[in-house]
Amino acid sequence: MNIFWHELRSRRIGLLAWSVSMAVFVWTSMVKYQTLTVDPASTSQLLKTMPDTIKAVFGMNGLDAVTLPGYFGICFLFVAIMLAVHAGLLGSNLLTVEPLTRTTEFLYTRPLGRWQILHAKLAAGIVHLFILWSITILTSYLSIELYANMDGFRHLLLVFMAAAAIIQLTLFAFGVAVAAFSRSAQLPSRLVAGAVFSSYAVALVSSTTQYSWLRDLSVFKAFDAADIIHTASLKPQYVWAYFVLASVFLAFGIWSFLRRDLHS
Amino acid sequence: MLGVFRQEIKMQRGSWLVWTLAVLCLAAVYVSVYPAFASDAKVVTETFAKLPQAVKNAMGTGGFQLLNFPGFFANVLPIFMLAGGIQAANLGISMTNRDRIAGTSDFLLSKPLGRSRIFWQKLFANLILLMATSAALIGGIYLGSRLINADSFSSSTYLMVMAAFTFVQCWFLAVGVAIAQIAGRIRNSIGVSIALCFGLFVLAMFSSVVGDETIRYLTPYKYIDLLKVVQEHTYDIPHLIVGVAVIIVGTALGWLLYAHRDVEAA
Repeated sequence: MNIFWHELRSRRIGLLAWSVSMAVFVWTSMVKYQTLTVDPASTSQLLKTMPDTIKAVFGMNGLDAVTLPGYFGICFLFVAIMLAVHAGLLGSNLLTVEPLTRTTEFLYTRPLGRWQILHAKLAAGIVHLFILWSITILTSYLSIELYANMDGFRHLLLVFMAAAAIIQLTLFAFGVAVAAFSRSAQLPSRLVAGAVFSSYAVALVSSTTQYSWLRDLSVFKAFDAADIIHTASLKPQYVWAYFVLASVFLAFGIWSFLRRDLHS
Repeated sequence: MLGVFRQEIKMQRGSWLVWTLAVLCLAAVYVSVYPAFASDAKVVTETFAKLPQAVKNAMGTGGFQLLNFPGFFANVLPIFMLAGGIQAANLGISMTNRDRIAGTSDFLLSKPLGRSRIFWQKLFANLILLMATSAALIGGIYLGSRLINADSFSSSTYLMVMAAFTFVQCWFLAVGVAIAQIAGRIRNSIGVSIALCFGLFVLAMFSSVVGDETIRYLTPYKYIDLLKVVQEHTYDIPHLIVGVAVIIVGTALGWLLYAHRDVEAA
């Protein structure tokens, strides 16, 4: 249990920073929602006449910023990106922190099996994911109650946050897998950055008709806000696919970490 | 003479190559989308031309100037600026941080060179790398526009749009240099760069959703209003001044702290 508490404690400042920035972002975005005054009729009329490619390039993604779900949907992409970056870096840093601080010999010579150390670390990571997720849903709920109308949005908010949790788990597992496999302590966080960035880029590019076949490659596109609002649910095939993917990453990460040579 | 400069280039060229290729691949994807965009744009412009004059006046014509090649890239450039920003912030942070992590500070500082000389040589090397990425991107996209036979466009507008990319890179390089000196040892430099760049990027996207002018001052991605550049061919001078001021202050701060600090031995 000591390792579990140590991991929780040593990362608390970082978690605090992430939580505060998340809360501030969600809160300010809802304050701003209040002041949004656009003429709804004329904008949506203009939107309907635009061809798809133009809409995609101009960032009109089928979301109506004047309604609460549409506005929240636009903000959700950014929330998802922040959660994804946090989860990925956390997952990789759990395993690379000892090589980076040259404390490998110190930790892994404790009278504990490697699996015991690893599962304490993973548990601490999951607790951190859950705390940030709870902060996100809590501040979303409170600021919507304060500055907008929650009626009829409760269910949708839960669906959005379910998508957020899947994105977190996927990136966390990815971070763990690359950190467990890679011999370099620097490379894993770069790969995480690359994964989040390319996932976002693919989500943007795949809104154009030409590259719509890329859409399955992006976790942000799989849980696209416009689709979520449209159906008020997540696409089950994506939920399963990313759930399986996360499990495979995690299993592979654990498997290779228990077998690798550690050096500092 | 330029040993530090050469060594710095040598250390970073691998990561430079990866970033530049990644940005160029993304550029290739977007250039290949342009023909579809252009033919759609033609339809929109033709429909619009048929509307009565009164309706045209009511709708405003500003948006239609965006339906050309520079306008297209003004809309998709933010994602390039995000990538370029991460690259630049990471170079800036690891420039002085790398030695402290690797414990090679005393090796470097025992060379017969002043601290300032070392600092400027390193900074200059990283600046050259970033300029090379910028030049490759700007040149690459221009070449792409020729390959797909895009309609003729004003190259000065195109350059004014793309200059925003170079500007964001310089901004993050300077801020990264300052952060590395203020924060002390940074174990995970890429993590800090990503959090910084994505955070400010989210802020920038958010400021365009709500159309807030004050938030624009906080994020380098918004110092240059790309759509305005295409439509009116001007930069917003106050924002530009704030941006340049941050670059100068960041670099000066990094330099002064680096030149005066106590260095821990390995």
